Amino acid sequence: MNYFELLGLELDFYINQNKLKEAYLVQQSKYHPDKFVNADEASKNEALEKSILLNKAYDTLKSDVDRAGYLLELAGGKVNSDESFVDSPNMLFSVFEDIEQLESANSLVDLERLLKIASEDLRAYKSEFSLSYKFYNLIEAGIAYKKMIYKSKFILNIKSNMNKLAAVV
Amino acid sequence: MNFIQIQEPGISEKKRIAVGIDFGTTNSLVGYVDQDKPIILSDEHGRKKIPSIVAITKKQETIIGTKAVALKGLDDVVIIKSIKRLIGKEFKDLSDDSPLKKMIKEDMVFNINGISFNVVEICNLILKKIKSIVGEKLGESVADAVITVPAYFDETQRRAVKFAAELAGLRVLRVINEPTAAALAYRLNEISSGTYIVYDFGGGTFDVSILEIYNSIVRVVATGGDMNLGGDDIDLLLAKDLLKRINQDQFNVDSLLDYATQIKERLSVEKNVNIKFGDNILNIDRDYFNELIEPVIARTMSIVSDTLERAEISKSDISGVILVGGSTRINMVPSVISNMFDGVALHNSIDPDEVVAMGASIQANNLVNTSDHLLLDVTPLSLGLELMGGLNEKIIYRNSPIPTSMTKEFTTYEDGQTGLKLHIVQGEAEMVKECRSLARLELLNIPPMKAGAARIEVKFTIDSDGLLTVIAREKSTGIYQSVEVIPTYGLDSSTIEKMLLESRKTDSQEDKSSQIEESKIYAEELLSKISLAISKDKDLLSEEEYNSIHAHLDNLRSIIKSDEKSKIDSVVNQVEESVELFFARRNTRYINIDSKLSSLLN
Repeated sequence: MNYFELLGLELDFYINQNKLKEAYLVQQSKYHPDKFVNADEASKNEALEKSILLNKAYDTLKSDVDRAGYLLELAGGKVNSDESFVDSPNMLFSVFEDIEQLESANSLVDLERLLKIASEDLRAYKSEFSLSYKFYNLIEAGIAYKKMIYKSKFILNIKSNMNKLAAVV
Repeated sequence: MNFIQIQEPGISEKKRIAVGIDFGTTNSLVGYVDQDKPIILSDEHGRKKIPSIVAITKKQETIIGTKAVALKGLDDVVIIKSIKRLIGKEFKDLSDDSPLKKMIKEDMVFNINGISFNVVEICNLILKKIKSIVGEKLGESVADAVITVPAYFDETQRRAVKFAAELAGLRVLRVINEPTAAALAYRLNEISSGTYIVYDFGGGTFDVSILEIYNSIVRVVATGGDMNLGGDDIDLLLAKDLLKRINQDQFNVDSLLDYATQIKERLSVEKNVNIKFGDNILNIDRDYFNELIEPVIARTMSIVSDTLERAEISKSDISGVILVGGSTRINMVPSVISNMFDGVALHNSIDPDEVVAMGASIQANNLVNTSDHLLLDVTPLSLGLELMGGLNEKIIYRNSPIPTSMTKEFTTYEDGQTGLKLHIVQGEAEMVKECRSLARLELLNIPPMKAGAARIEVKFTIDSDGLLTVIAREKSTGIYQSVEVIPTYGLDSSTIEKMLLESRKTDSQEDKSSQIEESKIYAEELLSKISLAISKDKDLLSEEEYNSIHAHLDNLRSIIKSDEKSKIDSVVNQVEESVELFFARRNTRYINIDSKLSSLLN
């Protein structure tokens, strides 16, 4: 049973987060080891395994990046997330641009503008992924997935710079 | 025993009792749930806060709790306090300011008045005291317990606390985090669904947890903290400042610590405090104090911000902040939090010293009696393996919901390599040397193969107490080999062995008395159940049967006063036999009533 089936969701990149959380909580209420404190060893172990699986399923599906990676894995597309995606000159250029812009953004206003653009980029990569995945273009989906990983990390960098700046003020 | 069902039809089974323990740096508390209400037990002096203090006399007696405080200052008595700060620590981790550092040797053993104690043994003494209070108030047979630890406690520290509790004769149902326990206490009546921050500032540790509440489920989203930041540090800061200001030879930092604690506590109610030192009278007002401790409070707030950021939750999502721990009584704390969260609701109506024990009691009760409530927690620190070059390869990331497991594959890097050493670490740093080393394990007898051909699977599992097991096996050749991590509690294996042996010695004496106690309790319950059944369904008995049962019951009533377990048990058996037919008839009667009822309803 894959994580989507386990939590009663359709196999798709776009999911309803509320539905996911609700399904997770309902299932965890049944199988969490705390419900088996007085049970025999065998039932305890079974519950532990099930509860672990539910936690892994929820943790994977709730994150856009991890969910995309999991969909690729299910589809048989082998993607190594550590491998560089910067094989096209276009992408390489945009990474350099990002780094330059982050370095020169010295005010909260600058950073907020940067964050807005990056968030839009990320949204575009997500729909790129979703489309390629739907049409079984696993190579394109794999590239979009790697772009998502990169942009998410970049957004975290922007946010951490924003916090540093806010702490000084 | 118990071969017949002597359950009263329609009446639910008697609730099982399990206790919740807050093993604190300054004070420890224990409670249980009675009729849905958490109740904190008092010691023999009527005090709920049992000082986490051990006094050791010249005669090698150990005195724990309230009495130990009274012995403070006597010449031939050594006092150990704040022992929790030493759990899972090495000598080099201790700050030079720590009063305990002067008392302990480099191998982390105290040698006091001719006896030696390690840190776990001191914790064990305090937990034994708690167990004895539980025995006194709720009966010796009550041993099931939930014990709390700071959310930011690592693997070694969690195991050490659990081990100390088990040595004290407690059956540890769960180890839960202090801030989560506090949330459970507030969940009972004050807060409803939403996202909350628990700001837990105790005597020795600072913890922050972010949690979501949906109806009866409490889910921890993220935790953060500093294990070495607490009210003790504020006392120390103030004591050092006092020393500078009074400038008299007869005082030193140690002797001023108690004054500092007093001043701090009084400043949470009064605007300024006058204190006499020798010929000097010193005035300390709140503003001066606030300025002095500002760096400490700022540090807690920056941990709060970091934890929120990691959880990807913004300040505006927060429905309220729960204040826990004695140090939140410091005037500055609520106002700083209020500022940071734009006047969000602050929850501090429950005594911050009692709230953790109350929550632990609620969780203990939820675990042993069926309930809708569920607590979902996370692991506070990442777990990983040492890679070549001393890099930390994280296997399970912090804030992963627990229980959880993760498997990674490794391989050999030399032709013909037959062994592999694994070093398991906990912490966020990139380099292993900055993390806590948990265990080293060695996988041997790998069949000789070309470099990179072996497939070694390493599986990390964290159970619902947040405790780790690691299993490694070589699987390319079908030869499976498992190695399990052995917990060390920061002690070496011979010390652990010795402690286990000693606890078994005392256990066997205690066991005997608790077994008699159990037999007596069972016999008394049996008596009351049978009397109740007879009063309801006397018509099912012939006069002869009635008299015979009565004779057996009288016999049991008199034997119950004896202290001979075997006698009580054998009379219990006779009584059960004598009522067997009667209860069988009653069951038929009630089953008939039940089925009639259900046929009517359907």
